[in-house]
Amino acid sequence: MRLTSIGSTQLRMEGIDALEIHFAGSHQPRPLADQGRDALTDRLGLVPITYREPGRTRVRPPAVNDGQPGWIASRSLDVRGRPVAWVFTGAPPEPDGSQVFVDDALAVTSTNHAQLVAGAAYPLFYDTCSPRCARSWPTPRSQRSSARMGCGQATAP
Amino acid sequence: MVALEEGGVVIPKLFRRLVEFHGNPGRDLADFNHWLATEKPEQIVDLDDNTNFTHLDNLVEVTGDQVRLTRPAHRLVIISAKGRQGR
Repeated sequence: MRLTSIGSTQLRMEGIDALEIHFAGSHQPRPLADQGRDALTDRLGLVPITYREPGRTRVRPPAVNDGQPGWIASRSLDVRGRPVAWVFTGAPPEPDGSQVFVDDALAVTSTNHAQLVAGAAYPLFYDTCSPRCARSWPTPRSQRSSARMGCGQATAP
Repeated sequence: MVALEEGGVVIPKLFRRLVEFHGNPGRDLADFNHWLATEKPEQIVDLDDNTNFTHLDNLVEVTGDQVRLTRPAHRLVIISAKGRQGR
């Protein structure tokens, strides 16, 4: 895992996938994509956040609420070296580096789950997520979420 | 690409594949599935039929200028290369 010069790293949130604000010079429809990002930063207690123009893809310091308490549970890195993570707000229940088993009860308290239920992200399961977890993810809610995001109305150029 | 950026909402994974596919502007969308199969092969487990692995190109339907994932995203598990998540 690589850290930036300010000691931060990007995370890959387990079980969900959000609309792309920027990808290879393109992006998915905005402001829908922005709404997914804003829901996440709001849930993490980070707002208000100002973004640089044009594009509004990079934070313009200062982020006055940076450093809110939170913790992650991760057991692998993705191909870009990002921890594949369950994200939680608040103080961690165990010391840093402890082994935590993310069962259903814990998973539903995660920010990952909250983003999905809120319709701010799509479900996306990899084999890093246990089959039991993928099967137990809230299907009816995720269907509503997908509908809210317009899933299924794919129009290609 | 304009339709994808402004109006068409697809699951992000499919969007990323479409952007990569159209990175070569000469490509015809009719070739998208073949490109997926040959350039972006990914094993997928369908939780409703998990007796065999399938692949993304088997789950994408292209009709004219329309692209559709034929299975709900939340019923699929992607097998990551070398046990690590791609995108």
